[in-house]
Amino acid sequence: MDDSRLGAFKEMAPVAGEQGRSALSDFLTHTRVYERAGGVIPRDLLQFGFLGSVVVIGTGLVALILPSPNSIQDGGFFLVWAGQAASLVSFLHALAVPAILGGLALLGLDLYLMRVPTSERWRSAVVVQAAAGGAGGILSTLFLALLVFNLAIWIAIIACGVAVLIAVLAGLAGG
Amino acid sequence: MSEVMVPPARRLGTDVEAQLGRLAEQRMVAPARRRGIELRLVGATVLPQQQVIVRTDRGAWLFVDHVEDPTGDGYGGGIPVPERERAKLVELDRAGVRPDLLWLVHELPSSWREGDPIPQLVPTPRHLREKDQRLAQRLRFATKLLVKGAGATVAAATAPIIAAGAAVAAVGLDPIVLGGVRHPDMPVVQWALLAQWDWE
Repeated sequence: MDDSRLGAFKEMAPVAGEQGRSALSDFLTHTRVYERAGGVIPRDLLQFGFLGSVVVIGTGLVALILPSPNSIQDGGFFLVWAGQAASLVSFLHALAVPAILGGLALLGLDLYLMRVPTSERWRSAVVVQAAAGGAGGILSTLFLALLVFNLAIWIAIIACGVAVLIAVLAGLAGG
Repeated sequence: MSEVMVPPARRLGTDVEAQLGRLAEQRMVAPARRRGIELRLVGATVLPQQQVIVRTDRGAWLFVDHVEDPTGDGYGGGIPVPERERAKLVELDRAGVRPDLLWLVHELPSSWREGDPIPQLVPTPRHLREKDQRLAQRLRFATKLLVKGAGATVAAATAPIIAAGAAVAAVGLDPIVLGGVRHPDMPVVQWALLAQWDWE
């Protein structure tokens, strides 16, 4: 290799030593301690964050389509615990928009956490998300339980009415 | 950790080889020896111009300049190095070990094929992995409890989501740090093994 080509070659691959600095020193300035560098949160943990966020958003959306507390209290469908159901719906209505916005923000946080190595304390964010999802799930379940319980009462009443009607009709037919 | 396999420089003259050996001795091996650290020379190669992926009978290896090392990307440009190994490298630096080049060698998974993206090479530290596992177990238990309470229908709908995340495989691939001294006139480099470690 002649001198001019060698010069070009050296330009293409300058070395740290020629700039008065060792490559090792340079490398050390570009390192960080592995044990303190954090890590990406694994998928099997992060899924609880996703699940929590989705439940929170779902609860918020369901709360938006629920009838007003007044119509629940006075509508006549809720034969028992109508007041409690109305209070619960009132509470869910108040939480609906914050829950949707908060849930979306938490989903955004998950997108960050699934790509970037994070420290130990960021794991708590996932737990908070899961807890928020759990709370949302419990509230929804409570309302669903009240709804189903009242529905069951209505079904029982209608069934009794039909049975009485059949008995009356049978009695009339027999008489 | 398996042996380092660097692509060798072909047909080096004995004078070039001897000169490289002397330079490596002066600038890397001797200063390290004075601190009681024995560095091993691993061979001479043609001066690399860009990252190289070498396939050997010991697997595929990514050979890359520390400036372009992909492991730094996910960590804000800082290449993660275990504390003990970093301390050793700092000591070598203080001892006066002065390589011209510093390249890293990363073992690639056996499933890696040409054209595939470089996989994640650094696993999450052990203490975080253990914490993640503990949290996941607790949350799985709490979710099951909640789902059971919410009824069998909801349980049936949620079960596939829980099962989907059961697979975790964050096994890192062990790196090697090589310091290289260039021949003053020829585009060849003599490499010494400065550090190597297994991710725990």
